[in-house]
Order: sequence, then C-alpha cells, then structure tokens
Amino acid sequence: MPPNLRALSLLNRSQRRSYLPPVATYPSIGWLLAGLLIPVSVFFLFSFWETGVFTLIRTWSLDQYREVVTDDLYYGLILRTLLLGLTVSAVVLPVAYLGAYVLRFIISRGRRIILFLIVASALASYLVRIYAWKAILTPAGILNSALDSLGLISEPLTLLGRPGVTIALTHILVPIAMLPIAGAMESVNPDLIRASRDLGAGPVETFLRVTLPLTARGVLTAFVLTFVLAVGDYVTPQLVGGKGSLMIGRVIFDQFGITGNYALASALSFSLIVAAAAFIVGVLLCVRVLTGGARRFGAAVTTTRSRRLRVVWPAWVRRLPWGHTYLLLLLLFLWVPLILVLILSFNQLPIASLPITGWTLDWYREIFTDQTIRGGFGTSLKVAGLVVAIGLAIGLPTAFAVTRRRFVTKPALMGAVVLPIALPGVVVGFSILAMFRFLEWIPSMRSIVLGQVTLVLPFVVLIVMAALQNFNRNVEEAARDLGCTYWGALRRVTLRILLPIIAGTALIVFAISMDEFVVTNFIVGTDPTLPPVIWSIMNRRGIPPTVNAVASILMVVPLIAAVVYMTLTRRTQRRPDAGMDRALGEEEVEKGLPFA
Amino acid sequence: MAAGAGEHERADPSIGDSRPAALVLNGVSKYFNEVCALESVDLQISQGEFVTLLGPSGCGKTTLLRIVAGLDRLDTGVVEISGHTSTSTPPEQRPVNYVFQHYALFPHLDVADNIRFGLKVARTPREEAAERVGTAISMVQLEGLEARRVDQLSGGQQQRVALARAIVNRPDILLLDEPLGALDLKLRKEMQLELRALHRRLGGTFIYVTHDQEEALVMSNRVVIMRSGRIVQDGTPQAIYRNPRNRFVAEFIGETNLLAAQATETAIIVRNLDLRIPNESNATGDVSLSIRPEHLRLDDGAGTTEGGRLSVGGELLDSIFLGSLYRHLVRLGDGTILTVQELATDDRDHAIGSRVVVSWSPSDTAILPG
Ligand SMILES: Nc1ncnc2c1ncn2[C@@H]1O[C@H](COP(=O)(O)OP(=O)(O)O)[C@@H](O)[C@H]1O
Ligand SMILES: [Mg+2]
Repeated sequence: MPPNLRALSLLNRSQRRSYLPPVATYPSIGWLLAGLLIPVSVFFLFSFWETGVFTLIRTWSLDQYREVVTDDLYYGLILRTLLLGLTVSAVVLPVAYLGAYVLRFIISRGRRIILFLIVASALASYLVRIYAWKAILTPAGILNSALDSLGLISEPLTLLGRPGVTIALTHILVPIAMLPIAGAMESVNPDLIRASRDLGAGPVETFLRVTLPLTARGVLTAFVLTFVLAVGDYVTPQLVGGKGSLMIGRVIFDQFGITGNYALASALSFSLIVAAAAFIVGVLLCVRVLTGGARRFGAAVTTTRSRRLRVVWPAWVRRLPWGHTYLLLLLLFLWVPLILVLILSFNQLPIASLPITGWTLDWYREIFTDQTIRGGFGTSLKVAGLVVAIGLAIGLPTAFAVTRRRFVTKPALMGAVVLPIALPGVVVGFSILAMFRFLEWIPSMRSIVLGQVTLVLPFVVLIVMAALQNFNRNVEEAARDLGCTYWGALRRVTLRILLPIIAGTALIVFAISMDEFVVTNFIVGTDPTLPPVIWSIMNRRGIPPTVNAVASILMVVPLIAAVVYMTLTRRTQRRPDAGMDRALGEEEVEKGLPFA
Repeated sequence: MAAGAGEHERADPSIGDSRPAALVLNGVSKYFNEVCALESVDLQISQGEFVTLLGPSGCGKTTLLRIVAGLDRLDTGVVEISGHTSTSTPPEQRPVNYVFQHYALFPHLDVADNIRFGLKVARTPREEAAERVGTAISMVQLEGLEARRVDQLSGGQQQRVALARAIVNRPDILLLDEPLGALDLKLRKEMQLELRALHRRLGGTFIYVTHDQEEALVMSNRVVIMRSGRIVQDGTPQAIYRNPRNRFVAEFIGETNLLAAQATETAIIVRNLDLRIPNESNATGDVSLSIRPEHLRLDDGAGTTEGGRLSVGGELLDSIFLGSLYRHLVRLGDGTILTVQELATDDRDHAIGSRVVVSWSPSDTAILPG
C-alpha cells in the first residue's frame, strides 16, 4: 500500500484516538459532578475557611488544619480510628479468606447455597445488624441475660466498647470482604494446587507460593474495602461503642448536628482521607516487601523441615468435616443475631432478653399505626423507585459506552464512577449537605435522590459492565445482519438477553436505596426515609420493642429481593453450550470438543 | 512443464464472467491499529458461484467476510454488492446474510423464532413467513425441533439453525465463516455434501471460509487462497493443485516435495543433485521445484528409467502402508527427504535401507519463485 494511502487509513474514523468520553456517558458525568465531585470540592473548600456557630466566615485560613494537627484529641482520634480499621481488617480478612478457601477447594456440596446465605446476610439491613449486636451485648441484653439465667455469671459482662465495635464491624464486613476474595479464588484452577503438590511442594509451601499469590489481588481489594468502610463508619461506634470508643466518624458527624462547625468537620474529613490513603499505601508497600519474604519462608519451611517432620494426622482426623464445620460456624455468626431480632419481634415482653416467655404480633400492629414509620416507609418506596429508574437510565448507557468504546479519558471516568464507594460515607454525606448549605437550598427528597443515585451508580455500571464483557457481540451483529438497525438490535437482542441481569441490578439498587443510612442521614429533610426514622427511634432512651418489628421487616424485604435476583439470573449464568454438554455426553465435553 | 500462474489468471472463465457480478471488491484494506488484516484485496465473484476462501488462521478471512456483511468498516477500497456500491451501507440494508463461526444464535428465542427473526424484522406477512420458515426448517432437516431452546441443541443442530436463519431471507450472497469448524469429522463430511446440495438447490452465491485445505477442495469449484491479508491465488482446485503460484500455495494445498534450484536463461539446475532441466518458464535466480508425492516413482537401483524422466538416487528410510497406498521416505545424497506415494497394487518390496532411484516426469514439475 502506498505510504499516503496508509497514512489516510490510519486517520480513519474507527481508528482515531478519541479524547472526549462518548455522549452516552454525559448523564452519569453530570450526575457525578452534581452529586459528588462538586459537593466534595465545596466541602474541601470549607476546610480553608473560618467558622462561626452554624455559619462559615469566608476568609482563608489554615486554622482548622492547625487544630487537627495540634489538638491531640483530633489527631489521637484519627490514629485510633485507623487502628480500629486495622484491627477489624486483621480479624475480617483471615475469617473471610478461610471461608472463601473452604468454599472453593475443600467442600464440593452446597457451595452455591452457602455462598448465597453468606452474601444474603450482607443484604439484611445495615442498621438492623448493628442494632442486633447492641441487643445482644448490652449489660441487660440477650447474652448477659442468657448467661445469667444459666447461672454462669453473677454480674453482667461489659461487652460494649472496643470489643463490641470490632465484633459488629466484623459481622458487617466479612460478607463484603468475601466477595473479591471468592472472585479471585474462582480463577485459581484446583489443578494448579494439585500440580504444585505433585511437584513436591508441601501444603504450606503450596499455599504460600501458589494459592496466596494468585489470590493476592482479591485480598488487597478486600482489605481496602474493609478498611475504608470501618474507618468511615459513625453508626457502629455510637450504638455498640459505649463511652470509651469515640471514633473520628462520629466526631465528624457531630459537627453536623451538634457543634455546627462545618469548617472543622471538613478539615477532619480530609485529614482522615489523607491519613487513611497514606495508611493503605503503607500497608500495601509492607505487603509487597513481606510477600517476597513469605515465599522465601515457604521455601525454607519445606527444605529444612517439613519433609522430615511432616505431621501426619490420623485418617479419622483428616476425614472429619472441617470445611463444613467452619462454614457452619461462620453462618451461625452471621445469622444468629439477625434471627434473634426476628424472634424478639414476636416477644411479648418489651425487653430484649431470653428466654422468650410469650408470643405476640402487637409490635407489628403498632408499627402499622405509627405515622412516622408509615411516612418513612412511603418516602423510602418513592425514593427507591426514583433511584432505580434514574440509576438505570444513566448507568446503563455509561456501562455500554465504557465497555464498547475506546477513549483516552476512560480510566478517569471509571475512577469517578467508583469514587462514591471509595470515599468514606460520612464524607460523601457531609459533602452533599455542605453543597446544599452553600447554595442555601433546603434538603428534601430531591437531595436524597441526588445522593443515593450517586451511591448506586458504581453498582449499576460495574454489574452491567461485567455482563457486557461476557456478552457475545456476534449475537448483536447477527441481528444487524438479519435486518435490525443499531437500536433495533439493541432492543430486540442485547437488552432482551441482558434483561435478567438488568432486573437483578434494579433489585439490588432498590435494596441499597431502602437500606441506605450513612449518607442519607445527612441529607434528609422534612421527609425522611425509613432508616433515619428508625435511627431516631433507636437513639431514644430505652429502645421501644417496635424497632424489632421494623428491623425484621427491613431485614426480610432485601432477602426476598435477593432470592428473586438469584432466580432471575440463574438462567443466564448457565454456560451457553450447556445444552451441548447434554447432547454430546460428559466424556466428549471433558475432551473439550465443543467450543474448546 | 508448468510454470507459475500468470498474475490475473481466472480459474474457469466458463463459470464466472458470463454472469453478472454478485460481489466486487476493489483495493480493500483493513487495519486494526497497526495490524494489517487485509491489504488491497481485489476479488470478483459472479452470481451463483460457490467460492471457498482458504487460508491459515489469522490471514484475514473473517475480516473479509465481515467487510462484505458490513460488520466491519474498511479503511480503503470499494465494495460492490449485486451491482450497487455498498462500501458504507449498514449491514441491515445489504442483501447478504452471514453464518457466524460459532453460530451466534439468539439464546432467548426458540429454534423457529431464531429462523423467523429476519422475516419478522422485515415485516413479512405472517402466512408467507410461516411458509418460508417451514421450508427452511425442512431444508436443514430440523423438523420437530421448532420449539426447542437453542441451548438444548447439539453442535450440528445449532449449525443447521444458523444456516436456516440465514437462507430463509433469500440473500443474494450467503457468507459462511468456517461453519463446520466445531463439528466432529463425520458430521463435518456429511454437512459438506449437504451444503453443496443446498447451493445447487438455492442457486444463490455462496462464499465459504475454511482453513482446511481438504474441505476447500471438496466444497467448491473455485478456491481463493489467502495469506497475511492478501489473495495469493484464485482458481479451480485442479489448477491450483497443478500450478501452485508459490511455495506457500504448493505446501498449503496438498503435500509436495520441494527442491531448491537456480534458474538461468536456458536451464534450471539443482546443483546438489546434479540435475539439469531446460528452462521453459521466464523464472530466473533462486527457484524451487515442486513435485507432488504421487508423481514420483520408486525403482530399485538396478532398473533403468525411461527416456525423458528425471531421476535421483537415494536411500529408502521407511515405507508406510496406507491401505490403498504406500508412502516411501527417501533420503537423497544432500540430505533432502522426498515423499513418494505409490499405489499399493504392485507388490515390489523395497528393503528399508536399500539404495533406490526416484524418478518423475518433467511435466509434473512446477517451478516456483524463491
Ligand atoms: N477486532 C480486532 N482487533 C484487532 N485485531 C483484529 C481484530 N479482528 C481481527 N484482528 C486481526 O486481524 C487479522 C485477521 O483476523 P481474521 O480475519 O479473524 O483471520 P481469520 O478469520 O483468517 O482467522 C489477525 O491478525 C487478527 O489478529
Ligand atoms: Mg476466522
């Protein structure tokens, strides 16, 4: 080809590097700007201003940061919060890793249902789960009353405080941490482990040299998720923390309602983000240095010792169902608190204690007559409907554009899309509130929708993107070849095939919206959704037993959504050539005959 | 003696040129970033032809079909379908249908709805559509499976659905991209014959892609050989087999023995073997002699070769009995190993390790550049 023709061809439309994101992503970009990027920037600005009571004085100063750095209350709190994040991660990651490992490699029966039960526990309302631990751990709570009635203790144990916060956060974060780890393990072929054993590596060396390195990315993702969520949580320390466990999230939150010092709240928030980011980077660097060490250690273990001193367990010990036992304990830990709440909601006595002496439906009857709760439920439904509609309307085109188009700014766009889940919730909530204050708008249902759509956008985009990446585009091209226009093929074929995934995404978004509290609590106006309503009831002295009933409803609704989701997506998750497997018989599939 | 084929040789003028063109490609090029998938491809196919595109994996066959179907944009060149310039016509407006390599059936529709899809989009009246779908289903022998989900079909059945889904629209050109690639050998052989029969019955233009040279020879009377985004040779299977244009084609189509030689103006000399034959082609410089195994003959060292045949001596390395055939491997003085194929009818026994003479007729020698 002559050089000039070639140059011409390289300028062809399909090849040209595009800098601007495609038009399909504009709604999402606009929403992220309004719901996150601008609010966070405005909030950031606040930290450089001076403050009055519930007002801001617009003169530049670094006073707030000076205060954060010099007042040992503040920097001490930040440090303590980071340490809590580290403690929680140190508990959550091994528990989650072992769970995912057993699920993948040890057991063969019941994997699907166990994974579902673990993930489903995460869908049961966030507030309810913290509340359950409060009901269990308080001095007059379930655990103490049970131990007392068994005569095991004479005085109630002090369980609230740091242990309580750690337990409750572990309960919340284990299912979340398991998702990326289980995802990483899914891609580890068990044959690799067998091959490693076959090549002479012991179980320890195989783990350190094969399994762990191959799943390291999942573990790191899980660490970042766990750490950020633990550090940004202001609800758990308040409910199960007791006196000695004030955390920075709570202090920031208090600047919103109690002290009204927005400038300080802002400075604290950004100090927290910077400190947390530095902390994460530090931990990741340590891991990198240590992993080399771990591999050397693995080698040392096998070469020096294990060949001679390998412990050989008796056959009956090895045959015990260790894997199922561990998963059973994990499921009990995740589900018993939730089931307790459900049981208590039928308890005749208005106190949270065991054993139950009589049953009643009164508390359910009471919530249906309670105006605030009914109002909250109504608002929640309206908000969730809007959030689903808007989230899908702007998220779907973005997922398509990001999967199918090439543009230079894609990494930046993806960064912005996941930012709402990467930032601590207290910062996102406060930022939106700060923007409203700055513009002198009054929070209302609109502000809730603004905030919640921002929060669900990452879920919509990431889930649909994953589905689109596995989508066989030839099917869409076949539709074009058979006479459909671009939009016709999209409607008749692509969207139709992705419908179960989209419906499932809608359900997840609906559940998140119904349950969202950390951000929503900042931006409710006169019309709060259900979780803030419950929060205000729970904050009253002596929690009324109606909360058990509301909590049970909040817990069961997302579970039903999850079951529906599983049913909807099961069909599409089946391998496309599953029918052929049956037609050709197992043997030929083993040989990799069709579509190998 | 046959020389390399001329530049614009058309295989069998009696087939194509008298009929109007179904497809004309003119200087078509396609780049994926820096990778050249097609480079100035010229191709003309007449109505009613069954043309096979043959080439190794990655040579651009799929890209060429996708450009004809309008699924890929081309970088340079012109596409003409049924007399209309279609270079930038969208796929839905081309009278062309595509059978995808992995079928790309619609998983959410049953067999009948998959086949009906194109008619439905075109708003064909209900009765007519039903009749055409019925005909297509019986043509591909899928009767009784109309209501089956497509993921409950075997590979062969899925392939038939893909075929029926395309032919029901009566396209001017049917594009088939390695449609039998995923089937087992027995089923593939059956389907090859069925496709030929289908072509005779429908009478449209078929462009069939394969990387399997044996299949290419079975399928059609015109084979277009591609390599690295270019068309290397275009002709009947017989012509290509007898007169491969270069070493690539000679080795790709069937099996061959290659001998390195030098061409002067008057003669072609294989120096290592002390062979010298008159040069009747216009080749000069380094050339290769290509001789098919079945054109070689084995004599024990004692016998004499008839006049005019070329012969070289060597050592018999191995003889393999293949039922109707023998394959002998002979190592020549310079280390070259020749494959000789003989009918197993005559019972002469050559001892392995013995000295033999390999001979062939000069007219069975193709002279290839390079
Ligand atoms: N979408 C694409 N992006 C980049 N390169 C491609 C793409 N499609 C094909 N190619 C490249 O173009 C060349 C020809 O591919 P293809 O037409 O699929 O070959 P064939 O069908 O003959 O096996 C190959 O080198 C392939 O890697
Ligand atoms: Mg191909």
